[in-house]
Amino acid sequence: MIVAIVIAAIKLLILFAVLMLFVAYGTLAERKVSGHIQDRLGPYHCGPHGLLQPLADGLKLFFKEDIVASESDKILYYLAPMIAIVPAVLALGVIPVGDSVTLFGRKIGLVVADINVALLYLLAVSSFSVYAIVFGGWSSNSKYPLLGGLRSAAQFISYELILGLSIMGVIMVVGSFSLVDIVHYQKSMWMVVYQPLAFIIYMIAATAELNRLPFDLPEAESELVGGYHTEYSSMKFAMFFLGEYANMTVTSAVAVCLFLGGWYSPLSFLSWIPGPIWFALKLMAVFFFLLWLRWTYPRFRYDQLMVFSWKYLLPLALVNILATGGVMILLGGI
Amino acid sequence: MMINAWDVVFFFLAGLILLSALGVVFIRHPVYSALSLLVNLCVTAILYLSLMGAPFIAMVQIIVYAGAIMVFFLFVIMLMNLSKGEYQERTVPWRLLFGVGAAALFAFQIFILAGEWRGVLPPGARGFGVKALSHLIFTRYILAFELVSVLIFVAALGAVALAKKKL
Repeated sequence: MIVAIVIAAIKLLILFAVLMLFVAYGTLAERKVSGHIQDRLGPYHCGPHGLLQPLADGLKLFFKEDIVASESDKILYYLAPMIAIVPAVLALGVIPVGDSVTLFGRKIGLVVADINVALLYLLAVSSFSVYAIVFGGWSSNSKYPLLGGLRSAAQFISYELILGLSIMGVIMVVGSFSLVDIVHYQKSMWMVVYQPLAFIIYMIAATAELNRLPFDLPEAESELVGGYHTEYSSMKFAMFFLGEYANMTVTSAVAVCLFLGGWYSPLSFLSWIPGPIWFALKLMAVFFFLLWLRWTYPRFRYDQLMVFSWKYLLPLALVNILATGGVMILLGGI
Repeated sequence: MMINAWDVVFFFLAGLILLSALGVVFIRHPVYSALSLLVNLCVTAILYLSLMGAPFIAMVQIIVYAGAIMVFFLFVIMLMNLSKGEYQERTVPWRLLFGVGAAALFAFQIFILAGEWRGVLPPGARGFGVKALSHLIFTRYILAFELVSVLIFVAALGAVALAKKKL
C-alpha cells in the first residue's frame, strides 16, 4: 500500500516536472515558430539560439510589480490564476505515456491511475479551465476583461459539447473509457484511420477550447486590449500563460492517446525505440500543429464562431456517431 | 450504533453539501452564490464517486452541471452585471419564507428516510457501471427516457420561440 503510494507520488512528480519543461519550452517554441513563419529568427540572444529565453522570461515575470486593480473583487481576482493551472495538472494523472517498465523486480505501469472512466474524467477536469477565464474577466471589474469572460463562457459551452461528441466515436469503437485500453486497441492501426472525421472535429474543438487562434476571441488583442487578463500583471499574468501552455500540452497528449496510437511506434521495425520517446515525439508534432495553426489563420468573427460550432460541427459530429454505429452493426460488432 | 470510516466520509461530505446549499440561498452576492452552487455540485459528485461507487454518474454530474449549466448561470449573471445595491433591496422577506418552507420539506424527508440511508448503500450496489446503467435506460426505462428527451427538446424550442419574436 505505502509502496504503491510512493510510486504514484514519484510518477506524478516526474510527470509534473516534464509538463513544466514542456510549458517553458512551449513558449520558446511558440516564439521561434512564429518567427520563422514570419521570416524572422525569433529570440536569439539568451543562450545559443535563444535557448535560455524561458528562464529569462520567468525571472522577468517574478521581479515585475504585482499590480492589483483596486476596484476588483479580491477573492475571485486571486482565485482565477490559480484555477488556470489546475485542470492541466489534474489531467496528468490519467495520461499513459508508455506501456510498463520493470524496475527492481517490480512491474510499473507508465500511467499514474488507469481508471475505467479516464476519458470522462479528462472531460470533467478540463471543464474547469473556463472558470479561470470567466472569474478573471468578471473580478477585474473592467469592461474589456468582462467582454472576454463572457465570450469565453459562450464559446466554451459550444465547443465542449462538440469535443465530447467527437470522442464518442472512439469510445464506441474501443468499447472502453480507459485511455490505456484505447491505446492498446491501436497497436496495429491508429485510430485516426478508423475515425478521420472525429480526429478533425476533435482538433478543431480542442483548439477552440484552448482559446488559440483562430478561436482566441476571449483575448482578441485588437478588440479587447488583452481580454480577460488585461488587469493582471507579474506572476498572476504568468499563471494564465502557464495554464494555457500546460493545457496545450495535455490536449496534445490526449490527441496522441486517442487518435495517434499513443506510445506505439508507427512502423514495426522502429519498435526498439522506447514508448515514452514515441509518445513525446507525437506530442511535439501535435503541439507544433497547434502553433502552425495559430500563425497561419486569421481570427474568426464572433457570429461565425457560433454558426460554425452549432450549424456545421455539431451535425458533423452527430453524423460521425451515427455512421460509426451503423458500420459497427453491419460488421456485427455488437 | 457502530461508526465506520464510510460513515465519517458520508457525514463530512453531507455537511459540506448542506453548508454550500445554504450558501447558495443566503449569500447575497449572485456570483458567490453561484460559486457556492458549484461547490455543492462538485461535492455531490465526490459523494457519488466515494460512497455510491458510481464514477460514471459522478463524472457526468461534473461535465453537465459544473461544466455547462453553471457556466450558463455565470454567463447570465455577468451579462446582467448587477451593481451593488440592486440585489439587496427587498421588502417582503421572500427568501426567509422560502427558506422556512424548504427546511420544513427537508425535515419531512429526513423524518421519512430516518434510519434508512444505510440501506441506500448496500455492498452489492457499489461499482454501478456504464453498461448496467445504459442497459437499464434503454430497456426498462426506455419510455421515460424518450419522454424526457422530448421534454427537453420542447423546452429548447419554447426558449427559442420566446427569445425570437420574429421567426
